[in-house]
This record gives sequence, structure tokens and C-alpha cells, in this order.
Amino acid sequence: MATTTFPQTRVPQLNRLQLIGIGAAVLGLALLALGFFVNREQFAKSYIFGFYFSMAFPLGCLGFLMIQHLTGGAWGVTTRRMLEAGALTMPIFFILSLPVVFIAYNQSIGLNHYVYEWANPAVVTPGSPEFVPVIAHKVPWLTPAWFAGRMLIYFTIWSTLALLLRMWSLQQDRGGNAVAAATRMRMLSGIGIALFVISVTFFAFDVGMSLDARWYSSMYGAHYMENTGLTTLAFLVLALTQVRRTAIFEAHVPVKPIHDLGKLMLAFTILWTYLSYGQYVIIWSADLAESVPWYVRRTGNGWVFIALTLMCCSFFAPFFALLGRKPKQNLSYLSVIAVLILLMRFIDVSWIILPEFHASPLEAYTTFTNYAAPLGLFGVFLSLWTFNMQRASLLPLNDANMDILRLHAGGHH
Amino acid sequence: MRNRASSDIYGVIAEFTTPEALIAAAHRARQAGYARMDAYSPFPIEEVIEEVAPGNTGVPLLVLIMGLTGALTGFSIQYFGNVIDWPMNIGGRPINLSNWPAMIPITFELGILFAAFTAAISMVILNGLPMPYHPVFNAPNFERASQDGFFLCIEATDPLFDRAQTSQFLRMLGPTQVSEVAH
Repeated sequence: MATTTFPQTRVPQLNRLQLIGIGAAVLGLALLALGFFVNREQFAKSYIFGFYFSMAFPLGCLGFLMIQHLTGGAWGVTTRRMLEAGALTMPIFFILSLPVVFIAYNQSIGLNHYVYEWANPAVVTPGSPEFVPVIAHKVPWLTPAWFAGRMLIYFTIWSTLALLLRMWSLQQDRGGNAVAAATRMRMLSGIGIALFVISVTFFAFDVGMSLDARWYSSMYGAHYMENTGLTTLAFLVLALTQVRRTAIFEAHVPVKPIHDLGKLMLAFTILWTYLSYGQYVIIWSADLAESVPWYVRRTGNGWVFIALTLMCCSFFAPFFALLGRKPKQNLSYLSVIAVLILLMRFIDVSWIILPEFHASPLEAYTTFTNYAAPLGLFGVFLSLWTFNMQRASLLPLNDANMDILRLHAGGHH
Repeated sequence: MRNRASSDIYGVIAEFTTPEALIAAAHRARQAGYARMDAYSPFPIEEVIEEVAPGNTGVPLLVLIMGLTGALTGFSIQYFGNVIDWPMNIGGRPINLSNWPAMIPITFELGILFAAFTAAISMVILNGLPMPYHPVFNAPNFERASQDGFFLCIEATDPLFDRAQTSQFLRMLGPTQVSEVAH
């Protein structure tokens, strides 16, 4: 834009990332399309898994974007543009949520089996041979029409928040009243974060938890939200490795925000363990017939090895790797941990979702669409993210929080 | 070389008005080779800590060891109590190692308890507290260190310390004043 004070940035690494993103999207979606013609039911199941997994990126970006507007801090102002670029993909992810709605409606994509059991009229109609009272009891909430309506509400909230925060942030860049814009963004984030927590909790209940409509856990939404946070932190660390050597980052970004991201990754790793274990021990201790089947499916037929892998590689390994103070200030070291964390996010979400569809992990992890869907949808996210990243300055230079970076950079000149 | 008069004083101290100036001064002092120095500011400044005390304090390692010891203690007392010495059927739960999920809360609590006590106590001891007298309070204007003053003190025990040259060096860093600190 002609009035922009700061030049939009051409970063070769971002161009390369965009190509990788487009490649992943094309490859993943092509394989997914192939899966659609090979086995339509498996396509539907894999799509739900892939969508649930990749929504963690835009959701985590939006969540952290609002948190950093409320808390300030060196890590916030450093990653703000990355978070904006991620949150801004929300309208596209609304379109990508439509297949899930069609899957709930079932007939529209020609399945002969309901992936969401509650969507089957026979299950919720009293007197029918397939009638399940505990699911029928949830019918006012779990109907395809209200499911579709809620998706529209969630994505309207998220897209509006993302677009407004980006718009005001760019107004700051163009030299508008920086303090007024910061205040506006902070006020919106205060309201937004409350809406975010409620809407993400229900989103997780709808898309993930309702796959087994007989079971419920009040921890499920918190667990998913925490998963979006951890996914996004790992993504931010990896994104930072790509832009760290640009002139603008060299000039303004000291080691402090990298250390902050390391600390946040450690905190979120501990929080993940707390929520996962807390949910498990409560259900395990109570040992009630209506709540244990969910865990029985996730420990039988070899799934227990996936659970043990998560214990080792999603808690113990990153926890001890991130304990030290010096390692957390080393970006290349952090990026190795971030790759492990992202890999474990894939394993964790697959352990949460796929046992509903596959009896054994062998079956789940040898189904190609279970890779194609997350790959394709993440590819869409990555190419949109790089597109958005190149449409603004890499740092919000007019924001008052930049002073925090300047303070910490002081000793290094 | 250290002159004879150096040991008559505790060190020389420079006062700055901004945290940025203190960070820059500490950085310059470190580059000049000074090692035995300390900074005093109204709030903790991470960069200054890096400059004046770059080494490890020993607290993190102690906390890690004691935290793991606490966790092991917590797990052991439950395991020996509930599984070996006094096995008891509680709501049909297994009486062996597969009962581990029930033992995690206490394991965690004792791990945190040991780690937190170690952190607090070792911090106090390694800081040399309680310390009823410290020479740095003899420095003029030093009460501002807990309000709006930022101080850098190079101690006389530093191998490079020289009463005249060190004072001269600190004066080059743009302080509001440089003074000698009596023992």
C-alpha cells in the first residue's frame, strides 16, 4: 500500500516455505481426493482427524495473539506478525470446516454409515431398534442443523477477531495513533479471549468429543485448547528460525523473546501433562461403566504403546530437555525440541481421535488418508501463513511494546 | 597490578539513572576483564545478571537433584506402604505397580515440596544470608538502589582492581557519580 510507512518484506526463506506449503497442500489434498474415491467412509474419518489436528494452528495463533495483546512482553511483540498471519487463515478454515458439516449430515456425501452416531435419526428416535437413550438425551444440542449453526458461530467469532486485530495492527504500522490502536486491540482481546475459551471448548466437544456421544469429559475442551497452544509455540519457534537472520530481526530482536518462547514451551508441556493425566486419573479412579470405555479403546489392541510413547516423548523428553536455562536461549536447540513437540501433537491428536475409527494403531497408522488429511490442511495453513507474512512488516515497529525489545537489546550493542 | 591501598576499601561504585545505562556499563566492565563486581537496581534486570554473574549459581542443580529425590521418596513410601508392607484392596484397584496412576499426586507433591524448599533454603545460604553488615551500604546515595538508582560496584578483590584506574574506568561509562566504598 502506498501509505505504508514500513516496506513489506520479501524474505527468501518465506518464499521457499510458501512453495513447501503449496506442495504439501497439493500433495495432501490430491491424496485425500484419491481417498474419497477409494473409500468414502475412511475419507470422512480421516478428514475429521486432519481438520481437528490442523485447526490447532489458526486457533493457537488467535489465542496467543489475544494473550500477547493483554500481557505485552518481548515474546509477544516479536511473534505478533506471525500470530496475525496464522489467525488470519480463519475464513479459509471456515470453508475447510464445511466437509465436517457435510459428514455430520451424512447423505450429502453418500456415506452409508454415520460417522457421528448422534446424527443418525434411528439412534435418537424412541422405539427404533437402534435407539440409544443416552444419546437421544443430548439431541437438543447434537443435531446436524445446530452443529452446522454452531460452526458458523465459532468461525464468525474467530474470523472477526482475527480480521479486526490485523486491521488495527496495520493501522499502527501506517503511522496512525499507535496508543489508541493498542488500546483498541487490548480491549477487543479482553472480550475475545473469553469468547475464545468458550467457543474452542464447544468446538472440541462438537468435532472431537461427540465422536463418542455416550462419553463426556469436562477436561476435553481445555485439553484441546492446550494442544492448540503447544502446537502454535512449536510452530512459532520453527517460523522464527526462518526469519531470525533477516535485517529487521537482527536489528531489533535480542535473545530474550527466544528464551521466553522456550519457557512457554516448557510451561505448556507441563500443562499438557497435567490435563492429560488429570483427566485419566479421575476417570481411572472412579472406574465408572459410562466413562471408562473411552480409555479402554485407547489402551487395547496396542494403543497403549501410543499412550506410553506420549508419556515418554510428549512429557519426559521435552520436560527435561527444556529444564536448563542456557539451552532455552538457543534457537537451533529449541527448534529440535519444537520438531519433537509437533510430531507428538500429531501422535496425541491421533490417539484422541483415531481409536474411534480404528481398532489398532497398526491399522490407523497404515491408512494413507490419515496422513494425507493433516498434511493437506497444514499445507493450506502454511501457504496462507507465508502469504500473510509477506504482506506486512515483520515487526510492529510503531507499537509501544517495541521499547521492551530495545531495552533488552541495549546491552548487546 | 593491585596496589597496597586497594584492600583499604571495599570497591568503587558508579551510579546510573537508567537500566539501559547499567546494562551497557556492566557489559563494558565485563569486556574490560572485571569479574568480581555486582549490580544493584530497584528491580531485577536479566541482562545485568548475565554480565555480573555469568556462571551458574549451583541452585538449579541442587533443585533438580532434590526434586527428583522428593519424587522418588513420594513414590517409594506409597509403594512400600500400600503394596509391600500393608497391601489393602481399595475399591478393587490393583495391589501392584500397575496402581501407579493413584500414586502420582503424592509423588508430584513431594517432588515440588523438596524442590521448593531446596530452592528457597539454598538461595538464602548461597547468598551468604543472613548478613547483618554489608559495606556497599556505605556508598553515598545507595538508598536510591531500592527506588530509582542503578549501581555498579567493582570490588577491590578483583585481580584487575586498581583504586585510581578502576574509578577512572567507571567514570568513562557515563555515571552520575563514582565513589569509593569503605569497608
